Amino acid sequence: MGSPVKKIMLCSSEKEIFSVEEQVMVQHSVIINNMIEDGSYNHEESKIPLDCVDSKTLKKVIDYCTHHTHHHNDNQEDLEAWDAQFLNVDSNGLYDLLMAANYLEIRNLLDLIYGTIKNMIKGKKIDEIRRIFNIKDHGFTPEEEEQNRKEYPHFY
Amino acid sequence: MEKKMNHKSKSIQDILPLELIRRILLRVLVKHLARLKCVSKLWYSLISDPRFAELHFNHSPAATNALVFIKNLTVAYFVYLEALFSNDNHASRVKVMCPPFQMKKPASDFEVFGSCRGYVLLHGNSHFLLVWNPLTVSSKRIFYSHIVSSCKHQDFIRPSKFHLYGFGYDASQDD
Repeated sequence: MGSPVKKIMLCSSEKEIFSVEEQVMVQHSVIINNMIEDGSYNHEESKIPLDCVDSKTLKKVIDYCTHHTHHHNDNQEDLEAWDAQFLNVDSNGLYDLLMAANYLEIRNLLDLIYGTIKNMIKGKKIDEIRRIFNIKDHGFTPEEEEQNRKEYPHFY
Repeated sequence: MEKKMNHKSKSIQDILPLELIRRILLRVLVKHLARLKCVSKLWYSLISDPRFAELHFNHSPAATNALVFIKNLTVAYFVYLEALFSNDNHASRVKVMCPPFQMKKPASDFEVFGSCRGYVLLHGNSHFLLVWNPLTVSSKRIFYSHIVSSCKHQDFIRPSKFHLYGFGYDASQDD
């Protein structure tokens, strides 16, 4: 074994502390990379507070970054299969991950989530899309809704 | 537990900030946007925002090559060129749509004058010009009165057989 792996501390909204390999987060998160680079993170005492990321989501984000750091040489098929399994969560879990990835600026995770949501929309009728995204109050007046349904019946 | 229940009954619009919903919609192919406009008023306003159109145009990986055939007042065909040479089924190659004339009072005659950046310029019934975006199913009428005419311009208009129309894209004004 060489020198011990450098770790950083991340703190979830529930104040739970997660210790992660620095390299893993630096490679994936633009924000954390910037904090390490500009010296605002002190390895002796700093914890990075992630007040808008809950423990469950933070654990997933760390899993993602760790896997993609250590398996980036795997073949594309294996990585895609892992990603698909990783994103096999309910829609609220997906939104939480999206917000966390956006906050931490993890670009490849963002692309993955946006792509997944895009596929959830693809080829779907409006009623289905509303159900998938739980949109009960669409905000159109009854007249507008009726007009749309009349004008574009194939959308519904 | 109660908090969890609340979270479950929330919609994507209650949970995600607007900016993230906008970014999701920016990734959707332009041909699907017309449909998504009917999902909710919020999505409608996000997609209808002129800045969205500009961002979306710049975001799109590649231009879609398609041809529009207008058969008559009520039927137009939108043909995706790259799909013609693939094994896709008929439905993905050709889309049938209505030209943007008001159903109640169809223009008796119209001509296609040109197209630019996905818009088609139509001239209807000698009364108005119409800019139509077949993909987002939106259109805008331009009446002659909107065209500022100078003396020179008038000369072109007057001999009724020789109208001069320019249709282009002004990058500085993005219009």
